[in-house]
Amino acid sequence: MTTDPLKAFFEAGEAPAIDRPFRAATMQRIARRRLQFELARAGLAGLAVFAALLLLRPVIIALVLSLPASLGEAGVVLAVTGLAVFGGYYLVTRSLPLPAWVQRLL
Amino acid sequence: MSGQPTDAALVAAARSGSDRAFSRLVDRHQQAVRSFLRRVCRHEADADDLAQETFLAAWTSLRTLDKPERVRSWLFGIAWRRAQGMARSMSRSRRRETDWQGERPEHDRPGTEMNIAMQQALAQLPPDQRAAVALCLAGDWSHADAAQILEIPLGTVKSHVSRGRARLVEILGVREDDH
Repeated sequence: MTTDPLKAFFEAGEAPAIDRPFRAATMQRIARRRLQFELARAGLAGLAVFAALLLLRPVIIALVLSLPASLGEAGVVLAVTGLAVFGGYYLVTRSLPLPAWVQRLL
Repeated sequence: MSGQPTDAALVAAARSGSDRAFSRLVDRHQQAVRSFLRRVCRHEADADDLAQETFLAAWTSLRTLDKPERVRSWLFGIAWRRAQGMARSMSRSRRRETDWQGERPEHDRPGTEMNIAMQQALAQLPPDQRAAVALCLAGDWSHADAAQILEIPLGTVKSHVSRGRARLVEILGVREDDH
């Protein structure tokens, strides 16, 4: 059986078969990257909601002005709008954990 | 043996969000990827940093992997492209995330005479030739696989390996009948 004389030289430079610090450092970089992705996604979702509200501003203002003076009805409209916004936020950023009380609502 | 999940199964699990599966892929392939990069790069710390970047890039683009069972050659392809990119921008900042290396046991750090001699010998080969040698002679990849990983023609790989081997034998002063 012939052995490659270079093999021993190559084997001397092998990386360790098990290297937990390497794995931990790699997974830490991945966790950081994931956080960046999620922050970017959440930022985009926030921008989208802001833009939607900006576009709908005339309608919202008209609605608010046309509302009867009754605070109870206004409260209902605000609650529905809030739920719609949270629902939209949840749909766009489903991977982000929302506060427990919001998750219970949704 | 049957208890070990296949690469394809780990890739599928990692694609559906399992960090545990991806960390097992890291465990399974880190030695091969890092050993390859250590032979291709001049500095061990650069090589290990590139290896981490390779796994990070793999995690980011895991969905683009067509053949999950060939994840290792895919990782090597990423590693090689990263190594080429680094070679092209050697003047960039040398800041590296190497804190984790302080936690490694001393015996894991290469520094033997043979390793140093091989590193010096490899440094004298052109990059493509070094990579072909690292894959086919040190890593036991076939010429065809190496051609695919390095994205060069098969004939060029064969020529690189043959010439690189002859050059290493000459530089290191080993005899062909040595064991």
